[in-house]
Formats: sequence, structure tokens, C-alpha cells
Amino acid sequence: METLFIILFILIFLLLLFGMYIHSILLFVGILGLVLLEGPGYIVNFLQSDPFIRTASYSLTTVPLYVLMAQFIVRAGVVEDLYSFVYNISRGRSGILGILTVLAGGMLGAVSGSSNASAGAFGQVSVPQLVKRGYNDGLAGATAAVAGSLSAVIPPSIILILWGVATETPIGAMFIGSVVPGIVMMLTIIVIMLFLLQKNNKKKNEEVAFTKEELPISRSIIALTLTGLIVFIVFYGIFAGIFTPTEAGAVGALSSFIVALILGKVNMKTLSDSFADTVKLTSMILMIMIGAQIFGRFVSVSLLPRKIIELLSTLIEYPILILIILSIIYFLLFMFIEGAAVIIMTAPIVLPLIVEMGVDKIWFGVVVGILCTIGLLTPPVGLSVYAVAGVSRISSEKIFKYTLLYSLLIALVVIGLAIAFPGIITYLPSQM
Amino acid sequence: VSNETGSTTSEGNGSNDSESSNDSGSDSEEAINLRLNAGLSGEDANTLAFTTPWMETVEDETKVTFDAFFSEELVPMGEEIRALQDGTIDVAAPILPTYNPDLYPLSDVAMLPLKSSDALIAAKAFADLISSDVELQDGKTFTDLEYGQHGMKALPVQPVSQYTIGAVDQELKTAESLQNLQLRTGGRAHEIFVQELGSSSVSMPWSEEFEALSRGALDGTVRSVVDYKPYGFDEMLTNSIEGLSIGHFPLVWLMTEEKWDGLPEDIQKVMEDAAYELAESTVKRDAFDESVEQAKADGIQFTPYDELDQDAKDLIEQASLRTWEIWIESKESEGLPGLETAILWRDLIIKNGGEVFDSMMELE
Amino acid sequence: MSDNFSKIYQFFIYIKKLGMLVSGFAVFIMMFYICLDVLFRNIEGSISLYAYEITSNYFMPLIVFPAMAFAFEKGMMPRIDFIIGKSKNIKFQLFVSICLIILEIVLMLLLIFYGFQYFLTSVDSGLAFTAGGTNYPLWPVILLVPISFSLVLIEMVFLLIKNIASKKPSFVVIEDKK
Ligand code: NA
Ligand code: NA
Repeated sequence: METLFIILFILIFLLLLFGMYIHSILLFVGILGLVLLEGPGYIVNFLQSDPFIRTASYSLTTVPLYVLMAQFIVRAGVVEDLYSFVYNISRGRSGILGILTVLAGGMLGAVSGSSNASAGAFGQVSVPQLVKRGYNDGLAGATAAVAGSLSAVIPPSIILILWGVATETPIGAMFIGSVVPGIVMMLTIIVIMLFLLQKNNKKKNEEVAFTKEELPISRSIIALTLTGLIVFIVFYGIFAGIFTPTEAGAVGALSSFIVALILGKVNMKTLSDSFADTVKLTSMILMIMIGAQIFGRFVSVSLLPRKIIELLSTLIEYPILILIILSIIYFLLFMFIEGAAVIIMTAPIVLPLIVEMGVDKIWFGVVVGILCTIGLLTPPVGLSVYAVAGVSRISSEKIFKYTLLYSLLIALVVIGLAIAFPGIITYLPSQM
Repeated sequence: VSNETGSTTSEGNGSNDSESSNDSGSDSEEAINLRLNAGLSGEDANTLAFTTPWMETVEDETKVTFDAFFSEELVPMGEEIRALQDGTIDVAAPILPTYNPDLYPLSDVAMLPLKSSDALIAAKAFADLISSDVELQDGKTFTDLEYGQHGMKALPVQPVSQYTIGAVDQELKTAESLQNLQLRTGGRAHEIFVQELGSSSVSMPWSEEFEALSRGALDGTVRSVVDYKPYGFDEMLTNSIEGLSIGHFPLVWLMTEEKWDGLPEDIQKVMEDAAYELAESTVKRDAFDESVEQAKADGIQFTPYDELDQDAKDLIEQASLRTWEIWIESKESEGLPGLETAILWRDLIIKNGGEVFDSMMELE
Repeated sequence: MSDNFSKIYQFFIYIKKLGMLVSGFAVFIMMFYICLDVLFRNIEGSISLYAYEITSNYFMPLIVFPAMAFAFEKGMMPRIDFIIGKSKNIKFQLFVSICLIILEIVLMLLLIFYGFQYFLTSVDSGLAFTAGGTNYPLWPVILLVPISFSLVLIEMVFLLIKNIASKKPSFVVIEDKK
């Protein structure tokens, strides 16, 4: 059993090194593992229905819809104008543009529950603007991916809802508990980004001279008004209870379509290009999810997570040690397995351990949520990065180089702070 | 497709290694390891009331051990029959038949609105329904028609406690107060009921329901009070009706007849007895009472059914009766014994202490 | 590469583009469909479009599967380019890429075979989802699965031929001219 795992693990690394498609690695190793564990008959059921069932999901509608929204916004030209506007008033400090992107990520996070959808949207909207104004490809892509990832930490968050129901942890309390860590995470991201940007500019060894970009006042007004209108419609609609965050994807896409229509930017070519970019990204994300599903089935059937965590419970006298080890285990699981699957396969086994140690369930749920978000940024299964890479045509390795650093530092800072000062998560919910 | 998701307590670790379940022999001295799948979470009230104690009894009294998988970790809801046939799993406990009316068209009879009932009444009535020898159509019983035709052995699981209406910032008292609401429903029978009340029925997965309720995209939900806390609705709902029973959500235990027949008789007997004995368990009813107390303590205001305005009571009775009629009609039009099934269920509910509205007694 | 190869592949490009357009229109229509559902829901006493059931069971598969081969053609599927990209030994690179493409073909054959079995089961057992008391059949969308993976399979066969013929490793049949 243990040898099987070691062999499969080496196989994953070899296939990664040889450059096999990510979805194929997951699919291949998942099938191989299931066949070796249970015999060839055991894969039949999964291979028959998992591709269809994984796809037939309501919450995944946000992926194509948010990306389509971004397509229309970008093709309407308002984003270009908006970035020019900020670039001009900040007198060419490109750091401000990055900060703006991260803050926009936090804002989008308040209406979107899915990191992948948000990352796809940011890859479309922000990356070309950042690259144009002095960011290298990898850093621009990484900034979009981390900005998008805030959607899974700042409430609402699909992943926290899932954890809440799996472990009977109050969802509202976790939402409130994740507000401060969300802000801490945002600040951490900004600091790391500014640092990387500076290092990057030094390496280029040239000051990018500021030249005011051509932008008539009327166009700034139009850009600000129309973007503001889309943001207003989406925010107002959600907070006034007219539609849900998932439905907001459709309403936002329609609003941006109408804006593009008003600005006369819609024709058969733009429509066809928007469709192409949207659906090829959606198909790619789903293909990886299908592979991840089969791989997850193998990990489930192997009962490996159960065994590891049972082993951990022998350390019950050292709760801090257990929490640190658990964080590392989750970090690794989220690296290789899709987030929801990790939660479903571990929640039942981790929960009794957490309860036995007397750890606050709300605290732990928020920590897992953050680790899950980070997992969307790490290779090999980093869906947010693939979403950005897919729409921006920047290679995923270039982005991973930065997001890997981001995720390690976010884990260290945010999770470290949460372990050292649990109050940053538990204080607000306790005031409810 | 997947409506509920959650997790497990650490059962299912009884086996030392995951030896294939296919080598379960017929000799009851031999250890048998079965893979059990539940669509619901391991912390779910239904799991705690049925799956966990049922597994414990079987593990205690036989050589059977279980590897349990919850929250669709192994098999998505609606896929259980294929998974059982393919041997992906050995036992499904429970499945949620109302999510697949294409496979189990009659099972949502349990969701038809009643006048009053509780979890225990429903559990006993449902156990009676599963073991009933009343021939509904072509000499076939309810269990033959619903589960036997798929080659499945079925055992009863206690249905979910009685459903009621929960609303946000809406006192439920008059007929008007029950109308023009947007209510989430989780099945066809409740959809008809809500529409007959004069409100809109909305369907969405629970993960959306939480956001929709908290932002006001929904005015309320048709659920049992036991669901309020686990799904986080206790923080949003403000009003509910007590002493009303808009039916029960049915759950069923399944295994292929082939696999079942391969089990030694003494094990079959333990499994069967454990399921039927759990139908007498008061765990679900107690959990319901506790949930109501908790909800009251959390500030949810319950209007007792008897204190509703007369026009509200009339509206509920009328809507309930119409739900039965429409349900029966639609089943009959599909060539199913809708009327016979409804009457059988009605009589079993009454036999076990529940009440239906007088007008429903006239259904013949 | 021979003219015939190019001609046949050009025709195949056309097919994949058609698939992309089907998926694209599905997203576009889904956008309107969900918005209409929101609109109707917010108008008193109105009809439901069952957006939850229809979008998850019909729209999502229609969005994902027809465009699948198009996504492969455009080199969307991520892979990490360590050895193939970095190694100086072209022969070794070519050998590895041919192995990977063959493995991909085998995986696609499995997905097609079992996907088709699932389609047969869905026809056989009348697999359906329910909205408003009506059963909607699932077989038409389940059929999309083996069809779309067949298109991917064809794409992989073209890729294999190209790799063998051109003696240079590649993961897209037509290189992106940036
Ligand atoms: Na969010
Ligand atoms: Na990852």
C-alpha cells in the first residue's frame, strides 16, 4: 500500500517533468491507482458518469459568465480608459495600478464566491493593462490570480459554505470571521506585490519614464460612469436581494454586453472572439476538474487521508504542533487535489480531532478556507493560475513562479498570525 | 445534480486494510467488509439517527465491517443504483429518492402535506410502507414498484421530521401573509403546495439558499426546523409555523438483491431488524423538539397552527388537498398507481397517529 | 507536411470552430435565460423558468463539451514545460512527446468508450432530471461527452502524425504565430 503511493507519487513528478497535460496526469494516475487497488472493474462507474456529472453543476455557471462579462468589459474599451485614468492621476507609479487591481479583487470578492471565475475575469481585464505599464508577464498574471483568489476568502465564499455544512460550523460566523484575515491577506498581497515589482524594475535597470497617456476628459467620464454603473447594478442587486451572487454572473455579463453595445463595440467578430475566449477557458477548467475528480476518487478509496490523520491524533498533547502539521498537510493536499474534494474527504476525519483538541470550529474553518484559496495558486493543480494563463496567453510556469512565492508567504503570514493570535478570526464572530 | 454535501464522523475505519469487498464469502464466520455510501454529511441529523447506529449495530452483532463514505465523496446522488450494480459500493444508506423522480416516481408520496405528524409517526408509517404487502398495481407492492424493479433490496430509513414554512421578516398569521412569497422548495409536492398557496416556488441548491435568504432574494423556505441550524438558516429566518406538517422527506436504504442474497441469513436478519427497530427510535423526534427549542431561543417566532387566522387555515387546507389531487392526477397520467399509493400512505399515517385534513379522507 | 494532411486538417478546424460557436451561443443564451428567470421571479405571481435545473443539466454540458476540441487545438490545456522545452536533445524530446500523445489517445479512448456506455445506459433507463413536475431526458447532453472526446481524439491523431512527420516535438498542430 505504502509502496503503491510512493510509486504513484514519483510517477506524478516524472509525468509533470515530461510535460504531460495536467488533466491527463490526474486522469492517468487516478485510473492507474484505482485499478491497482481495486481491479479494472472499479473504474467503470467513475469513467462513465464523472465527466458529465462534474460538468452539470449550477455553481460552475459563474466561470463562463464572469469571463464573458470580462470579455465584454474589455472589448468595450472602458478598462483601458480606466487604467489610463489611474495611471495619469498617479503620475505613472505602476505600483498604484497593482494596488488598484488587488483592491478591485477584494471588491469583486464581496460579490463573487468563486476564485476561478474571478481570476479568469482579472486575467482578461487587468493583465494586459499591467503588462503595458511595466509589469513583467509573470508578475502581472500572478497579481491577477491572487486578486481573484480573494473571492474565496472574502464573504461570500462557496468553499466556506461547503465546509460549514460538512462540519456543522455556523456559516455566517465563518463569513464574519474571515473578514479580518481577508483584509490581512489583501495587505500581505499588496506588500509582496510592491516588493516584487520593485525588484523586477531594478533588474530591468531603467526607470520607466512617465508620459501622460492620451485620454480625453469625455472618455474618462464615460469609462468611470459605465464601469461604475456595472459595479452598482451587481452590488445593488445582490445586497437588495434581487439576485444571488451566482445569478450576478449573468446580470453582470448582460450589463457589460449592453455597455459594449451602447459604445458600438459589438459586431460579429467581437462576439465570436468573446465566445471563443470564454468557452475554451471553461472547457479547460472543466477538463482539469474531471481529471481531478477521478484522482480524488482514487485518494478517497485508498483511505490515505484517514490514515494520516489518525496517525496525527497520537500527537494530541501538542495541539500547536498538530495545527501546524495539519496546515502543512492541507497545503499539500490543496496543491494536488481540487478544493471541494479535499474538504469532503478530510472534514469527517479532521473534525473529531479538532473537537477533541478544543480548537474553535469557526477558527479552523476559516483557516482551511484560506489554505484552500492558496491551493488555487500552487502547481500542479492551480486552477486560478490556469484561468489567468488561459485568457492572457502567458505561460502558467511564469505565473506559478510568482504565485508559489505569494502562496508560501500568505500561508506563513496569515496562517502564522491566525495560529499566534486566534482573535483575528474569532473576535468578530464572538461579538455577534 | 448534487444538492447536499457534507461529511462524516470516523466510522468506516474498522478494517485494517481496504481489502476488496468483492471477496465477501457466504460463511458468516468470515469477515465481510462492505463499502457504504451516504449522500448526506456524516454530521447530518439523518446520519446520526440512522446510518451511524445502524452500522454500529451490524458491526457489533456480526463480522461485517464498513468503510463509510459520506457527502458524495464516492458516489454522487442519483448515481447510487449504477454504483451498487457496478460494485463501486455495496450499500447505499440512505439514498434521497425524491431527487430522482425518474427512477423512484412514487417515493415523494411522503412529501404530501398532512395536517399533523412527527418524525416518529412518519418513520413508523414509512417502515410500514416499505414492508407493505398491499398490491398497488399488477400484483406489485410499493417496494416492488419503486426499488424491486431496479433489482434493489430496500430497507426503511426514518424520513426527515415534518416540514413547515420559515420566513424572513414576515409574520405568518393571515392568508395574505402566506401569499406572494418566494419560497425555496426541494421537491415537486412542495412546489405544488407553495403555488397553490399563491406564492412562488424557487428551486436552488442549499449552497445558494444561504446567500439568497441572507440577502432577501428568497422570502423563506419550506424545510424542517431541524435543517435550520446545520444550514445556517437559524441566523436569517424570523418566523415559522408550529404544529403543521407539510409532509416528510423520505430516505431509503438500498443494496442490490444479488449482493443481499449472497449474505448469510443471520447477517441479513441483523441488518433488517436493525433498520426496522430504528423506525421506533425517538432520536429524530427528540432532535426536532430540541431544534424548535433552540430556534425559539434564537428568536425565531413560531405561530402555532391553531392560532392562525381562519382564512389562513382554510388556505392551507385547500392547498394541501389540491396538492394531493394534482400529485395523484400526474402520477395516474404517467400510468402509475398514484391514487392507490396516496391512499395507502394516508392510511398508514393515520394508523400510526398522524392526522390529515377531513377533505383528504374523501379520496377514494 | 503533405497537402492532403493540410486539407483534411483545415476541414477539421472548421468542425471544431462550429463546436466552439455552439458552446459560445450556449453561454450567451444562458446569460439571458438566468436574467429572465431573475426578472420573472421578481415580478409577483409569475412563472418560473427553472433556471437552476435547466442551466446545470442542459446549459453547462452544452457550454463545456462542444468546445473541448477547440480548446485543445488552441493549446489551452496546461502542461509544465520542464524537460521537453529545456532539453537540447531533440530526439529525446520527440520520443517523449510522442509517448505523451499516445497516452493521451489511450485516455481519450477510455473516456469515449465509457462515455458512450453511459449514454446507452441513459437511453435505456430513461435518465432524466425534473423541473416543475416534467421529466427532461438527459441522453442528448450525455451524448455530447463521447462525441466531444472523439473530436479530441482526432486532434491527437493529427498531432501524432505531425510529430512523427516533422521530427520536431509539438503540442499544437498549427503553431500560434504571435
Ligand atoms: Na467572495
Ligand atoms: Na494547487
